[in-house]
Amino acid sequence: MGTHALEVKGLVRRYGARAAVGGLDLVVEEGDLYGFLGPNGAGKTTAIRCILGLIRRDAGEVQVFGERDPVAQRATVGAMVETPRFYDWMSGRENLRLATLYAGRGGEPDIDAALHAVGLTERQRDKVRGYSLGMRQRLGIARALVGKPRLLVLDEPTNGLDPRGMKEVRDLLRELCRRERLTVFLSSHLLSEVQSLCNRVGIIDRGLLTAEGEVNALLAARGLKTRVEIGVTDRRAAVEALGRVPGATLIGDGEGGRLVVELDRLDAAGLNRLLVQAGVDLHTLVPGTGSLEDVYLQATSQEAGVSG
Amino acid sequence: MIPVHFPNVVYAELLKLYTRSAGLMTLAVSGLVGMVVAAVAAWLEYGIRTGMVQGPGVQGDTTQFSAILVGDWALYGRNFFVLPLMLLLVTATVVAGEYTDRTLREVAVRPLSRLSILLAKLLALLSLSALSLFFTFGIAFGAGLAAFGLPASWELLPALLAGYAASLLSDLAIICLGMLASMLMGGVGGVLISAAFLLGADLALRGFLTALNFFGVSGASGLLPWTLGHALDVWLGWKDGWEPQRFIVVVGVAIGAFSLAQLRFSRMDVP
Ligand SMILES: Nc1ncnc2c1ncn2[C@@H]1O[C@H](COP(=O)(O)OP(=O)(O)OP(=O)(O)O)[C@@H](O)[C@H]1O
Ligand SMILES: [Mg+2]
Repeated sequence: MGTHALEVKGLVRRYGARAAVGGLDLVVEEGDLYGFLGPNGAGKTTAIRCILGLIRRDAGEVQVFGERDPVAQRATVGAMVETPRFYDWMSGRENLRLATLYAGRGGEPDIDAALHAVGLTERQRDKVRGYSLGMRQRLGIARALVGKPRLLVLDEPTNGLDPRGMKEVRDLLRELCRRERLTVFLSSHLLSEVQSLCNRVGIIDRGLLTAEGEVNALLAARGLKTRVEIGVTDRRAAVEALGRVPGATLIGDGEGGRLVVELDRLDAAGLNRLLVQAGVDLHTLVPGTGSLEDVYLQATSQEAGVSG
Repeated sequence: MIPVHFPNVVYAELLKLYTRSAGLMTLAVSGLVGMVVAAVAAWLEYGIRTGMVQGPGVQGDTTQFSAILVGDWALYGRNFFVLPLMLLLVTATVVAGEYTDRTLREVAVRPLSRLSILLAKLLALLSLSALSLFFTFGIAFGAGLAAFGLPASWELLPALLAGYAASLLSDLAIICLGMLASMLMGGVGGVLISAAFLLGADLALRGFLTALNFFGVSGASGLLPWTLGHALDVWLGWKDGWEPQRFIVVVGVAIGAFSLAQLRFSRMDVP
């Protein structure tokens, strides 16, 4: 068994009688972009705090790149937990500088690179006191990056960002993963974000992992298929054609008059090709999140962290 | 327990401490104490010389006024409430304040033991205490020289400087108590209230012991030198003679409070 980027075994954290995290096991491989999904109050933040050694754990074990010592572990980790906080009488750049001092790693070039990556180069000399919510979030991500981490642990990194900011962060994480071989562990409750970004997901509900695996494998294991929504000019012809295309099943109507199609051993490009061959023009093709949504809904309970 | 990059951590704490308003305010007040005391001395000297101020033992004699006297008064002025209170406030801001505003979390996610985090803060705060003493003495003595010229005798200067140095120990105990209160109370207000409570209790204890002594209970007066408030005045030794009990208590309180604070911190959730 090789070493994993992050391995959590039997993690338990109780608040009073209630277990916020009740025996969590998960494995993140090096190079993964791992999505940690779960409803409000499921225990995502609590698990992340335990992993980072911020709060006491009642049981369980955490290894980061095979390292068991909690202090040594954090040398390779860059983290952002909930809303990032700063010394707000100082500038953004000064805050990053302090982060490198505390980390004992990273220098001015890393600070420049991190500021550039999150698009804060222009405002780096301004006091953090004057930063907007989204700017703080970006600076928080930059701070997680400055200490030359190998593993990024991010708690809802796109929280509070505008649509462009969300996309930029997603692109950034993808690029870091690909180019710098960074491993990313991020929590979220945005299904579309996780589906478009992550190669692996773990779904936590009431403190327990209820599903884990590669996104595609997870869908297959649950007998769920990828869905797409298509917008067509000639609806009747499309419905007829779909009946003849192997691997495509019409499920029903989607938003804006689109048709929801379930795919089996066929991808969106293939469906498009087959429909065009059948003489049906598509004007829109939207990858449905419905599929992961179904896994998610199966794997989580209805009420948000209320019972336990 | 202490990482190789510990000097960087101390440096980071210094950078924060000497840019945040509580730290700068402490330095400003330290200088102000020296200045105010020198001004009062100069005014008194002038009053006595011109016969405006009269009283037994005054009689127009102004030979006692010197830069050393100003330094002496400034030490009293500093150590009676003003600077201990400011240092307590700064300690509370740096420890309890960072806990409540959650910036402590951003340090706790770094490869640092809780001990090294607390120790770095202690060293930074001690530097503030030392700098504050330096400011008070420098300004008081400098202003004293300007007002009264070179002192007739330098004899008392080493002892006075020892008094300033001993104040560092009182400050150390106060900082450590502030750290312990921060860990237990988790809020700047709570720290100040608990400190007031502790010193009030100590005052009551000393009053009680004095009363027992008055009614002839043997042994009561023997306990007095071991009380906290008495020990915090260890710097008074430069005039009254150094008492070993004071040193033992003040250092013991510092070590004890820091250890308890660290014990609590090492098990504490940092949200
Ligand atoms: N300090 C605390 N004291 C008591 N209960 C707590 C504390 N922190 C968390 N909990 C409880 O633990 C459970 C998990 O909380 P947690 O913050 O980990 O959820 P989450 O998955 O991060 O939710 P969200 O999506 O809303 O951020 C909740 O039931 C919460 O009430
Ligand atoms: Mg959360």
